[in-house]
Amino acid sequence: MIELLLVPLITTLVLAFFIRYKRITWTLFLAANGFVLYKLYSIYGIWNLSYKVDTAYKILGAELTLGVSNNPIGWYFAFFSALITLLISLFSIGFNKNSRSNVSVIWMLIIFSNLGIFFAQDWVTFFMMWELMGWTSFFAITNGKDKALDGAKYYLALSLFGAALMLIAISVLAQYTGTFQIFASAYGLLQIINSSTKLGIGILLLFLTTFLIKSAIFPFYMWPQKVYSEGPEDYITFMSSVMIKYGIYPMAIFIVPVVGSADLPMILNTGNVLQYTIGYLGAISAILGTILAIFQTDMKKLFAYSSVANMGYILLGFSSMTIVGFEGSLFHVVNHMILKAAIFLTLAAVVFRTGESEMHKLGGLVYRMPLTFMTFLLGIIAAAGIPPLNGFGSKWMIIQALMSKRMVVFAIAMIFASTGAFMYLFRALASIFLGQLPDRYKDVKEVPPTMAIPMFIMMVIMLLTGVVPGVVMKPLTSALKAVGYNVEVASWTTLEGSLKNSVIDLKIVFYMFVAGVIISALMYFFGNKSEKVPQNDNYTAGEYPEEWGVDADRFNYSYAFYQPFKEMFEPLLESVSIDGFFASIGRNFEFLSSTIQGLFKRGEGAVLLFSIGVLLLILGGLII
Amino acid sequence: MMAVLRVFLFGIFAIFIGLLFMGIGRKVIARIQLRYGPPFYQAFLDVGKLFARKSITHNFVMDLGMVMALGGLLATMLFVPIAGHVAVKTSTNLIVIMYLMAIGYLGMAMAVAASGNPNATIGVSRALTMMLGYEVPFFTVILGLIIVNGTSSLELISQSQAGSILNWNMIKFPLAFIAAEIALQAMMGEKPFDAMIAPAEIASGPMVELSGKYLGLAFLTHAVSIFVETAIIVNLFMGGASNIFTFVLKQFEIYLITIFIEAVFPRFKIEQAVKFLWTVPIGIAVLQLLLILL
Amino acid sequence: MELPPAMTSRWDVERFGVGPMATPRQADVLLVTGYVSLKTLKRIIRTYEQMPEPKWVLAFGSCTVNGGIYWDSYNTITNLAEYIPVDITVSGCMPRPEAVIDALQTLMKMIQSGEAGAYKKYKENYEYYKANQDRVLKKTVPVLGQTPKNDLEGKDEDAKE
Repeated sequence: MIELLLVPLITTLVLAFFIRYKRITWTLFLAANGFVLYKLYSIYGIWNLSYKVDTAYKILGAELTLGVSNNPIGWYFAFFSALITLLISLFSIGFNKNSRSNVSVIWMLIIFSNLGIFFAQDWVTFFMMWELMGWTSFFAITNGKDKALDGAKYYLALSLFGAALMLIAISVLAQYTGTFQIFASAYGLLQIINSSTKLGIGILLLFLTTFLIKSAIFPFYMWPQKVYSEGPEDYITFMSSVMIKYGIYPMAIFIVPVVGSADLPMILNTGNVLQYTIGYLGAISAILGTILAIFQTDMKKLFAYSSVANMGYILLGFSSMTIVGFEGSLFHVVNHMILKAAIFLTLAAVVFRTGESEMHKLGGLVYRMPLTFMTFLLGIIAAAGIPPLNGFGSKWMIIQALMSKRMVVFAIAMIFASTGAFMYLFRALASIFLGQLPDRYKDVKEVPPTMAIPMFIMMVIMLLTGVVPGVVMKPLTSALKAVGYNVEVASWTTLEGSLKNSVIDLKIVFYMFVAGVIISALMYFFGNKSEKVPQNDNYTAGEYPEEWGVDADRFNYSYAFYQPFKEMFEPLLESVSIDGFFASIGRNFEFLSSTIQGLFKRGEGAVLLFSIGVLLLILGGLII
Repeated sequence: MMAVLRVFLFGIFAIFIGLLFMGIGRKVIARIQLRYGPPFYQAFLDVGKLFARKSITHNFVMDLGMVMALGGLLATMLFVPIAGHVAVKTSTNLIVIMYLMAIGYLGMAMAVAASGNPNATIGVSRALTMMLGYEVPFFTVILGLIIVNGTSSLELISQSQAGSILNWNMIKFPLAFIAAEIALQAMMGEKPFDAMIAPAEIASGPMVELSGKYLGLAFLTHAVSIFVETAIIVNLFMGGASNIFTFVLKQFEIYLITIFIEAVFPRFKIEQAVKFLWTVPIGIAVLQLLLILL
Repeated sequence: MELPPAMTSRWDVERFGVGPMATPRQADVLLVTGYVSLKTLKRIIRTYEQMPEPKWVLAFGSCTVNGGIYWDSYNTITNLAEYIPVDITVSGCMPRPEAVIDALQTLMKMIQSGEAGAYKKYKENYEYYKANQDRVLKKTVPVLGQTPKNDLEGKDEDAKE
């Protein structure tokens, strides 16, 4: 078990030595990821593996034992993140050929903390890994670029805030339950909630806030767009597909069991208060993420908001607190990992070839990069949740769960978000790949094989997971069964909903789709033959656009794509901006700190502070 | 082999009925406008002519997208129960049907955007905005029916209304039916919700660069979508039917309502349409949902 | 002006399955209604070339046949058939909607009997048509495409001569 963590750590050191030699570092990086994946594959099903360091210390009345152990849900998260990471690292070899800086060292350290988070046995190890991940990603995002500093700082500040909250929560929890073990403390927290509700909910909310920050849920939905638009593209792929799920994992193993079985006031007999809190946060994230994504012009920002919306779906699934919703959420975690990785890889390929990430400056790239286009197409079909690709199954399960619990508001929010998803996904497709190819991209080429192969594998994985969801659902259900949930191991192609007669066979859906396409292809071949015309031969009411000074770039409709729709939402979006709220907090802090600083600099301030301190001391003594 | 033949027959049937409806619809509109109107088989002639003509394409995405459009809608059609018959044995899940329908629209949107004509892209952007407009009220209606019946299977919902006409959801939940009708009008892209086509303004929008068989495929896609959408409404609100003839007759009644509205109304601007769809039908649907829940 | 009544309730050309299309890609028949100025000709040619085959041209009114009352204008053409192949013409100034309907039906009959195939002539004699087009279109220089600089240069040359 320990070698799983040691290998990334040692690789980090080795990589740091060879940081100047790109070819060596990235090959080593790939090899290390391959090892991690292989090792994870080999420890499947051996749930009693663990490695512990017993210290004799006791903090806050709880025994301090640092340890990692193989737990089923952690394995599920770790395995699929390792798979995606392997593909991204293969992509990185080609992608980083010409880049100046080298992100591989920091990235390897993040992979180490990644495994640490998923396999941590106790809160202290978990917290250490969490912190490690927080500040290492700061360096990975900036990666030597000043421009990225703002976004990275924002991310770091939120991370530190979250970590501080978690530290408080861990200490309080340890004080009351006398243990640092994650699973043991979950039962402890449940007892606390049942005995003194306010304290229990307080602890739970502290934990929840930490995880929400990491998963970019509603009040903290701003960091992805700030970070994704600046960081190195291949690392951003990792971040958007794998790292954003770090908040989901502890929610799945800790928050959901506690909230689901806590005895709290119910709303409409469908769920308790906390359930609804989580659900509303998820619903707001889903809707707000969708609406904001529709109005972005930068493609990376667009998909950053799409991630926010997808995290919202996962939270909605959790909020139903049914086994179908829970399975659906965890399934969506992996689906989102796969499809977001595929989409961001294509975006990285586009940036690699054109150096442009503003959508309205691109266009017509399908003429030059057909494979990238196909990957992107399958990616957005999956992201829109359309069968027969992945992304559908999990969304379907979540909606089923919400409907069976009669959570109508959440179900409508989900439908709103996934229909709105068509809007922004299609906008990205049309603006980047379709339309007219501007003259300046006439000699853009398809990406080299090292980048094309991972994209192709991504396509295969998306289709496979879409048609045979068992490849994910089987490990998931066995893991849930091993943890003690009352589930049956899923079959290869069918998914089971929670309503009456709601078993769907995705294999049949796929066959029907193929049948439909065959009939329609027959019609197509039955028709008379067609002739290919160049892109500028277009209907323009008889005019020659060139004569009016309209070149291919200006002939695209890709700026202000949903203008009438945007005008509808403008008043709303202006009044609701969490960013302004955070900025005001920042300003207040600045003001406060400069005031305190001023007090220190001048002599009378020191006297004042001293006297305040004495006063507080006396007051404290009196109270105690 | 039988299954393949069955699937093929269902597909052809849907195309046939859809085209027939389109032809009769044109005739009905003409009669409302005091014209004589084309013969009822005009839609077949049109499609035949379009397939026989030569056509132009801009790149392979156009071909792929058009095939995907018709393919996606035919696949949807195979999941819809027609008078109790389904092409294959499935649970006829409503959510699956709604999502599968989207792939057809996505294919169509992709094909026309690939042509590189700004009019087409404007049309698609309007169509997608409209989609967000009508999906929300329509789903709210469906949600109410699903909660009442405790199932999301279209077949079970239609079976639950068997017996007399009083069991129909149309009678039991009239508000839901009205909301669904308005959403259906937008779903079919008929007036007053046809801002995405708007021939005089954006040169028929998505269809601007489609010629010959591409336009033919677009026609067939529209025909199948008419079939699927009316079939969903018939199953949801009119209790399906015992035989195919009655079923098609009921579908035609639904289509006639749409055509009547289409014939006499002018066009909404896109933001007016979405505002309307998000106030009136949603209001009605939510009222019905509250009546069901409480 | 004759087409709206032909399409609407009074004459209703749709009963013969004929309807207006928004773009040349979807159209079978190009109706050239009225006199053709040189600027219009340029657009007509682009539109005609964008129509997929098979395609037919219906020249409408005397103006398109012999120039009509514009026969001696400096910037209208007199015979459309010199520039694009015309399948059928409707004479009159202006023709009645009945004449339009009659022409369309005659065109249909001609198509069925295989008489109407002028688009093939356009392909075969492309040089002839192209030469004719270029001869007159020389006179139309794009108005907005020119930059002021070119104008000045042209004036300078004139002044020298």
